[in-house]
Amino acid sequence: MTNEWPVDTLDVGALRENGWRAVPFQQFILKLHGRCNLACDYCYMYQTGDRSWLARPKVMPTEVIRQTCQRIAEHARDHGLGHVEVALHGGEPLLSGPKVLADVATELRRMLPPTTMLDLVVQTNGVLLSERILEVLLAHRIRVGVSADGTRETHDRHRRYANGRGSQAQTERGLRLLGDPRYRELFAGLLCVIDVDEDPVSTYESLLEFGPPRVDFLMPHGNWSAPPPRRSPDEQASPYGHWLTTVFDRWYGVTNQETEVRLFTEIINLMLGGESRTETVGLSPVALITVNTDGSLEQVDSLRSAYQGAATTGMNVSTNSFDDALVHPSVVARQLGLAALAESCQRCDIRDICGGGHYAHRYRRGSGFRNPSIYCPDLTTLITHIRDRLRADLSSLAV
Amino acid sequence: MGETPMAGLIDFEDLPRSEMFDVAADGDFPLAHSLRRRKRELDRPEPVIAGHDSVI
Repeated sequence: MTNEWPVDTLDVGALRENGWRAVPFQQFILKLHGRCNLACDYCYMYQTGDRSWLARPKVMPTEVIRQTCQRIAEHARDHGLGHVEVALHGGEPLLSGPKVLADVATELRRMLPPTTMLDLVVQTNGVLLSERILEVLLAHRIRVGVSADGTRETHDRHRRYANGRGSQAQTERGLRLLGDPRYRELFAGLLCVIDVDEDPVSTYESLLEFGPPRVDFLMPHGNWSAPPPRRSPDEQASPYGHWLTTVFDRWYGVTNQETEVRLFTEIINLMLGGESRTETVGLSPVALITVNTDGSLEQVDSLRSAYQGAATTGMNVSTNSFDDALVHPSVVARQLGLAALAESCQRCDIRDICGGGHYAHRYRRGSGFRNPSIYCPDLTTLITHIRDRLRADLSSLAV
Repeated sequence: MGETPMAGLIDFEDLPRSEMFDVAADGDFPLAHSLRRRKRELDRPEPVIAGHDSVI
């Protein structure tokens, strides 16, 4: 018997009796394909010890696709949702082939209420982007986000095939195609996992070469019991914070914005009194759910990085509605905002901006997720740096 | 624009906000984009949810 928060100790019944209400899911992560053509060294799906993917179908079967689309439509109808986002994910979702991609888009648009707007995006490593695939994505209005790690050397060091060969050349070829005027409107942006041993400005400028409308930098997943690279739990050094402030200054200090950097724009929006649209910072309720290739529901797949089974809900689209998952303690915990933070976070000056950081980064074996982020010093460095620059610039703007 | 509640980390009480937004109206620098987004949100408030960091 463990005593970890929230799975063992959060009393959802008591919360509901006291008036708490869940926020309906509005982002659905569909694991269309359960395998990947790459073996990236930091992957939370395949490199963290969780082997549950081996027991699931490689491709999401037609029946599971149909049930999933029905459940999404049911959820949208029951909650009167004006907008839902469906992200086709994996593994590598393009491995499922053009027919499956087209079927999902067709089924979703057929089943969703006419009052619900659908934003459909595929998150890919870019290796399989071809004219044939892009024509299908264009025809079905599926936007494309691509994972890319900056310079050729960095990309090839981390984003490798199983035989150790780097994938940068194939990803670059895909990105050049995506940047073609015919497909450009589909380009959603680039995701880059940070390597603090690489030069931050070179990394950022390498991404800019593809003309992305948006970029985000992700800290490698890790936690207090399994720290990420270069991040010791006992040290106050902030290698990721300094890396990111260098990128921030390069991004921020231009007359004409070259791209949007999501982490920075969300922090600035929080500082301007707004709310965040990403789970990385801020206290906005997390309203996303993951559907695996076998129809099983996970709260968010990145929690696999904490421990085996951390993301599991024990539910499946064949037998459960998404409303059932809304009251799972681990889902509820991510909608509690301030109340989900550790005591030390609740007393912190920057808590509303930081929001405790990414949920997966708070885990500590034995106590669960009610801890500061393993990246606490880095987040503090970045946030105070942005605050200082913003404060100075807003004062001068207002003169 | 009228009075707008701003509860971020920065103390905005002493800043003339309408002028701040006016200056940002035509700018293409990153802060101008952020100020315009914030103004849009203030003009048309809607519930905000947080999405998956591994989707862009």
